[in-house]
Amino acid sequence: MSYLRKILHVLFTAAILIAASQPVIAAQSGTPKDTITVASGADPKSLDPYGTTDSPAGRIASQIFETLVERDDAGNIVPSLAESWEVKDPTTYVFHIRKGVKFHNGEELTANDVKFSFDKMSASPHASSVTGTIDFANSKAIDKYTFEMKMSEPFGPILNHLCHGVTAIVNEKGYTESGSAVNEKPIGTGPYKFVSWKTADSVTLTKFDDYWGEKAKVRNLVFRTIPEAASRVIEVETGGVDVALQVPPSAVSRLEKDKDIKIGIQETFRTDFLAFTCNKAPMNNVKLRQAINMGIDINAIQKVVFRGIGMAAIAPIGPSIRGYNKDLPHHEYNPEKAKKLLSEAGYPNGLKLTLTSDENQERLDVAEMVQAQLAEIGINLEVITLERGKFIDDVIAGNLQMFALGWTTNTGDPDYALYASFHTSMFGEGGNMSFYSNPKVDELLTKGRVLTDDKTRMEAYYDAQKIIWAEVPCVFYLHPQEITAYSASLKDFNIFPDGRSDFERMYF
Amino acid sequence: MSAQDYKTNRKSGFWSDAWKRLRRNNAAMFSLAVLVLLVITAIFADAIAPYSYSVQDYDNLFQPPSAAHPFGTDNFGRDILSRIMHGSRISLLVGFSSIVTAIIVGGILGAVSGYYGNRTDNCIMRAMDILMAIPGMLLAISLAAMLKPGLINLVIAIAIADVPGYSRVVRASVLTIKGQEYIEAAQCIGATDRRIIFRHVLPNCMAPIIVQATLGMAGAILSASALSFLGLGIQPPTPEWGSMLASARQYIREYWHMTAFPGLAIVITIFALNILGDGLRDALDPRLRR
Repeated sequence: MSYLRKILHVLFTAAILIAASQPVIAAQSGTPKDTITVASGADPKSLDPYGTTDSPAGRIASQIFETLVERDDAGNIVPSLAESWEVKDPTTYVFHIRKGVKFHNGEELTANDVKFSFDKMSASPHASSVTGTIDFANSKAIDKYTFEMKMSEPFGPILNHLCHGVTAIVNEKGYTESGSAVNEKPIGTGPYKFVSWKTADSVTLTKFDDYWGEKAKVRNLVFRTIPEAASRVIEVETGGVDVALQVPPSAVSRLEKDKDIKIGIQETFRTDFLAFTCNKAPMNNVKLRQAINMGIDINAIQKVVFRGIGMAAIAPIGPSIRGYNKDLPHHEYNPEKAKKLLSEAGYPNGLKLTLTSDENQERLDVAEMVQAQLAEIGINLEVITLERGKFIDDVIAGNLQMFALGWTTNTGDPDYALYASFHTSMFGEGGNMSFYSNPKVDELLTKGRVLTDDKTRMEAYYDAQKIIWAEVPCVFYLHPQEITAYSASLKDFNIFPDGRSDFERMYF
Repeated sequence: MSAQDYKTNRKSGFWSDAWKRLRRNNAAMFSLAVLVLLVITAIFADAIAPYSYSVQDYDNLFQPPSAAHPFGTDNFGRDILSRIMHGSRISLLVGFSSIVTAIIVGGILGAVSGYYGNRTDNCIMRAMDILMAIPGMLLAISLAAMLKPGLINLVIAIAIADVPGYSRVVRASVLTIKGQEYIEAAQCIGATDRRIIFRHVLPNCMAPIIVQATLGMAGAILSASALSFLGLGIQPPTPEWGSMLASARQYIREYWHMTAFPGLAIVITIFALNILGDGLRDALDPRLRR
């Protein structure tokens, strides 16, 4: 009896082991995988290209949608949906639309779709910082494959801006038919088409067989939302996902030992900062902002929270962006001087402030460090954590005192970084979330935007950065580097400084 | 014990009897000692903690346990032992005050309900049923999310979720006490309802309340930790065991000590409270004694 039981036991265990090892064997000998699974930290806010500029959405939308022009790996502007273009004069651009481009619903791309898309952009509050001085009313389709874009004023970086996902081209028929469900049924021209979106879980895309360009090499593309950084890392280690985005710096040393995993450390277009709501007391006090800036040790933040990955901020925009000012005085951490500035600002006995953040772990860690550092100069900082959506709403409404955020200059051009973030006309939704206003800065930023001569443009940005750096609308603390962990079997992995990837080029 | 003992020991009352019975229960006494130690730690945390709970030492990040830092240091170089010591304040404070709040509110509701009976009873108990239909933790989470995070709101969130339990316990005891002769006697000599409830009824249902409270406190501390873990409780830099766990969990595979010690602190406290609660129940219920 007990013999029999023992034998059964052994058999049972063996059966489980065999069953458990089955998929591994299949994966090793079978056909190559037909799905790339990507773990991202946040759900997209919307898949309507004009509905948001947030980066999780941009990453997915850039697989589905395309723009008139795009940047190649070296950062040059190259044709995409526009086969070629002419600059007739500084305010007139003529785009020749590529023929035979199919949308995911089978419709052919025409200049009318481009016109329709431009009208949608003009109505979107998210696009205004990107579209600059495009004169939407006078831009028009000349014939089936020609689109003329007018500018109200010359705009130096416009082609860079037209690479941004918020200027994506949609299908007029598809977009109109989707109606209010437009963010759930995106129809574009990209290498992947939309299949499904399970909120807070995953977005599934599949290869678009009629794609005009080089077709995707792997059939399916799944973006899973895994908010917990540690879980993303575990998933990529166990093979649950092929790519883990936003890997925490603390995991790098262990992942480096795993030979099945590769790590990509990529410069980004982003700068992280603690912003002040500058148009409201007490943050309208420049001395107070300077005191806080001086009381924060940004080198320690880079070392402790980011484990030495990334660069302690040296300017309002990072070195990966053209025209960053490398000659600014280094950020000075000096608690004694900060205390003095604080009493000059009118707070000899310190004060109580709030710092608000979303649930991003690194930002919370930064907040906790800043809280401890500011306590030493007599500032009692309360850290408030809000859910991301509510947080952004409060930021845009100007309800906060200090908040932790970052800005990704998706276009790689200083105009998008500085004009959107610091020009008076861009308050709130436009991108100037610190509600900072300085006529001199406005003038310089307008100059940089209107002029077409690169050298004078960059000089204007140099000077604007000098003023912004000195007046501290934000404590700039880091030019981060993005850490990505991906399976060593995934070939041609790529990620660009704006956070997007060309997944259609990757294969197993 | 027999009836004989009661005669020879006439002077000893119910409470000293219970204490005697409790003292014979080694596990419960050990738990009591642990809890007393914890209370002392919480009260004198400032004096006995080796470091400040908030000072960050950027040169000593993630130190494993050592002589200088018995429980190691965290991601900001703060001493984990000191943080656990200070964290005990929050845990005990939240546990104790939410239970006291719940007892006061639940007790009054239960007493009124049991004493007056009929329609009053029906109204109050149905309201309690509604509250009980929502799982306690879920109720606490929604309340904590609705109110702003912070100590007082944390207490309120946990207390409200606990109220129905106490009102039930008290109501049940009141129903049995109500029929006793001494209550009738009090009513006969014209005592007011308030006096009867507060002077005669409630003191006589203390025993089940105390048991429920000890066990409930374990639950309350756990809820507080859970809520802080979710970011709905105590805000940084104030150390709280649950939030310490929450911020340490991203390092769990590299630096085990960051999660292990706050976790142990929670486990030991909850365990001690539960054992003591069991012991008290045995000690306070004369019918159970062997």
